[in-house]
This record gives sequence, structure tokens and C-alpha cells, in this order.
Amino acid sequence: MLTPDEITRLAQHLADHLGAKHLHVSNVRRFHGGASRETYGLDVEVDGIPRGLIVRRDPADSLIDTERALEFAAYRSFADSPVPVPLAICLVEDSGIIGAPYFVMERIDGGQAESAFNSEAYGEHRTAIGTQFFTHLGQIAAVDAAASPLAQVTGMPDAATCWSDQLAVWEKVITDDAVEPQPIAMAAIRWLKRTPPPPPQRLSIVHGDYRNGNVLHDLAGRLIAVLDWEMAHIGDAHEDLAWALDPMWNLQDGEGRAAGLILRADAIALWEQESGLGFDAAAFVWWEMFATLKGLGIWISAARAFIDGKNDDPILALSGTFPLARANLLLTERLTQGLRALP
Amino acid sequence: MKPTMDHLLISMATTIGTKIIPEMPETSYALGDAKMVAALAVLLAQEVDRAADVLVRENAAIRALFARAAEMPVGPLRAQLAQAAVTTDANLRVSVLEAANAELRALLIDLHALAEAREANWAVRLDYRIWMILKQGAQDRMLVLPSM
Repeated sequence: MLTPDEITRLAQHLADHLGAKHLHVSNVRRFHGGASRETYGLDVEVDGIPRGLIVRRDPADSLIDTERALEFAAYRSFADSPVPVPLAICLVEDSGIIGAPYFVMERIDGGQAESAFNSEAYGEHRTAIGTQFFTHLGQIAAVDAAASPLAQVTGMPDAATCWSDQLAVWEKVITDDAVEPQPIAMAAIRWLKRTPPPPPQRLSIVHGDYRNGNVLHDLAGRLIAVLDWEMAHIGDAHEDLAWALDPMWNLQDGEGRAAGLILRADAIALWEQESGLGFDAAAFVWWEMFATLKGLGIWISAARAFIDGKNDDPILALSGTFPLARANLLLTERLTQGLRALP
Repeated sequence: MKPTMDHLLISMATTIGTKIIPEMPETSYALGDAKMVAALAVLLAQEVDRAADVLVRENAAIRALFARAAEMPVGPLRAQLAQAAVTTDANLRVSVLEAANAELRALLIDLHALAEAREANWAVRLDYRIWMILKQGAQDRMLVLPSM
């Protein structure tokens, strides 16, 4: 939690940044579930005008190790776009103000994030949310990646190797953080290297964690914000689609709906329509496998942080249980499809 | 007669879910922690009774596979496989079984990579047998997450 001294320094910095004569901060509270950053909501009065803000502070450890500048740039990349994102206000890499780097963005009130494991999520609005969910995913892929603020931070990858760049990231995470041998993950990595996907039709911004739990809805059928851009990068838009469709995030839906929301064919059609890209079924098989492996990497890394005592948040402990088991089983099912015993 | 481990863990989760969580403010950060701890207790209840059984069976299956593989043209792995095939689990503590399992699975990774790299029938059969062990292990370790 932010200390009173940290809140005072934060208020002073905000006042300076916003050019305010008087700025008062109140009602500071931490939101649960910030996997990569500590997330605080605060009410601010700026020269008499109330505003709701969010502060995202780097924690001691997290589910996902990312750079705040990257996430800040990702939010800025979608300002004035059809993709609903909060206004990114300022990025502070100086640890002297609240003890760690942070950034500030506008708070979107009246929204709720649903757990990806909540089978009752969205209620009667499930179809409406699903339609918007995949529409916005396509819109993310439609943005000119090369001209985006994100590209200024990350640069543009080589289209021919964007798959191997991402695979290298998660292979390293798994290799570095696993506390026990991972034969299924290693087999998946070998398969991914043996059967590379074709280059993307064009390079796109990839959210990197587009799923239930990282969007806000207004409880009345409207999706009002896409959040948690900490794993954003530029690459193949199929990566985001595969991640969104990974069974881990499908609200425990037993009917096989895309993200547990709408029919898979409808989801893909919306994504194609909004992105202007064609769905490549063969490439998608690769990205589906990669998505599950990436998930496995996240769970392994989170569990390692808990085991090492770097972070005692129970969400990290949970990561090493069901999600890890689920990802291993899914990889095994995919990798053994069509496997037959020789006589 | 005493309560079983899984019974105790489910009871803990139920107490957290039905008596503690309803008393917590919705804006409390600890509310999220409480939900996670309750879910963890439910998952542990599934794991606690079966953990040793899963490991004992998998360790035995891998050792049996190694014994057969050591007779195949596996080059430099042959001696390691033969040696690992005759190891035993010192006792049935989960920590001991897990340590043995980790050693076996590390060698299994090497054997799997070798099998994949060869096209001969023995290698294809070996690859299949490895996958059957991995698949069984993944199924045995699967958990059911409560809606949360």
C-alpha cells in the first residue's frame, strides 16, 4: 500500500505535471489482481475539478516482468482509436517518488472486470460482450503499428522472425524459472521450432494478454475498456487471437465458445472484418500451441516468485496449481493429436 | 476416526467463502486474497490424497521405459538410462518422490529429444511411449478449479 509520505510526493508530482495550483488526493485504495504491477485507484481534485486516476507501480516481483514504458506507450497507441482505453497521463521512471517507477492514467469508472474463471460472467450480456470483445481485438490489429508510440519504444521486429523472437522470450522464462524439469514444455518448444508459422500478413500491435479479466464492462452489455497492456509488442495478430481463444480464459465454458462468449466462427469473422486480415488456419495452429506454452511460462514464473519468497501474493501460489496443470494437459492433448502406436 | 486432509481443506475453504468473505468490505484488497486462499484450499484438497500415488506410478513407469530404452541404440544415454532404471524411491514422502521424479523427468527430456530426432521404428515407438507417460501424468495432475 502507498504510504502517506508517498501519497504526498505523488500529489506534488501530479500537481507539477498537470500544472495545477491546488491538487488534493483522497480515497487511495489498491485493486486486487494486478498481476504485473500494483494498481491503485485514487480520487483527485485538480483546482476544484474532481478526477479519478489509476497509478500502476512496479512491484517487488510479479507474474510478468515488463517495462512500464512499454505499457504506457501501448495505451498511448490507442488514444483516439475505436479501442476503448484510459487516457495515459504520465510516466515516471524515478523511484524516488513512491519507491518504484510508475505511471498514471485516467480511471474508467462504472466498469467491472470479470474473472476468467467465473462461469457466470456477463450474465445475459455474454453475446453482446463477446461481439465487442472480438471487434476490438480486430481493431487492435488494424492500427498502423509502425506509426504507433509503441513502435518508438520496441522498434519493429523482422516479420520473418517475430515468431521466434516471442518463442525465445518464453523459452528463456521457462528455462530460467522452472523449479523442476518440464518435459511437456520442452517437447512443445521443440515442436514450435520444427514447424514455424508463415510470416504475418502484416505486422500488428499485439496486446499480449487480451482475455477475459483484462477488459471492463459496464454490467449493461457494453465493453468500456481494454486494460493490462504490459505484454504488448509488435508481431503477428494471430498471436492475440490464439491467446484470447486459449481454453484457460474461456470462463470454464463447456460449450467451446470463443473466450466462453460467442461461437468461434463468429469471433473469427469479426476479427477478420475489423482487422482486415485473413484467418490463416495453419498459422493459427502454431500460435495456439505458442499461446498455451506462453501461459505455462507465466504460471511457472509466478510460482517461482512465490517459492523464492519474492512475493507472497496467493495469486502467485495459485498459478503453480490449476493453471500449470491445465496448460500441461492442453499441450499434451495438442501434441499427441494424430499420434499412433506402431504395430 | 478423524477428519481427512481433504475434508479439512474443504471445510477451511467453506468457512472462508461463507463466513469470512461476506463480512469483508467489497473494496478491501484482502477480499481478493481471501478468495484466492479459499480456491487454493479446494485445489489442495484434490491434490493431497493422490499426490504420492501419482508420483509412485509415474516414477515406476519412467523407470520401466528407461530399462527398455537402454537396450535401444540410444548412444550416450544408454548408461544413464540403465542406471536410472534401477533406482528406487527412498520412501513415500511426497518431497522424496518429487525429487526422484525430477531426476527421472530430466533424463526423460533428453531421451524424448533423441527419439524425436531419429526416424527408425524403434524411435517412433519410443516417442509414442514417452507421450503416453506424459499424457497420463498430465491427466493425473489435473485439478478442477471452483468458479471464482
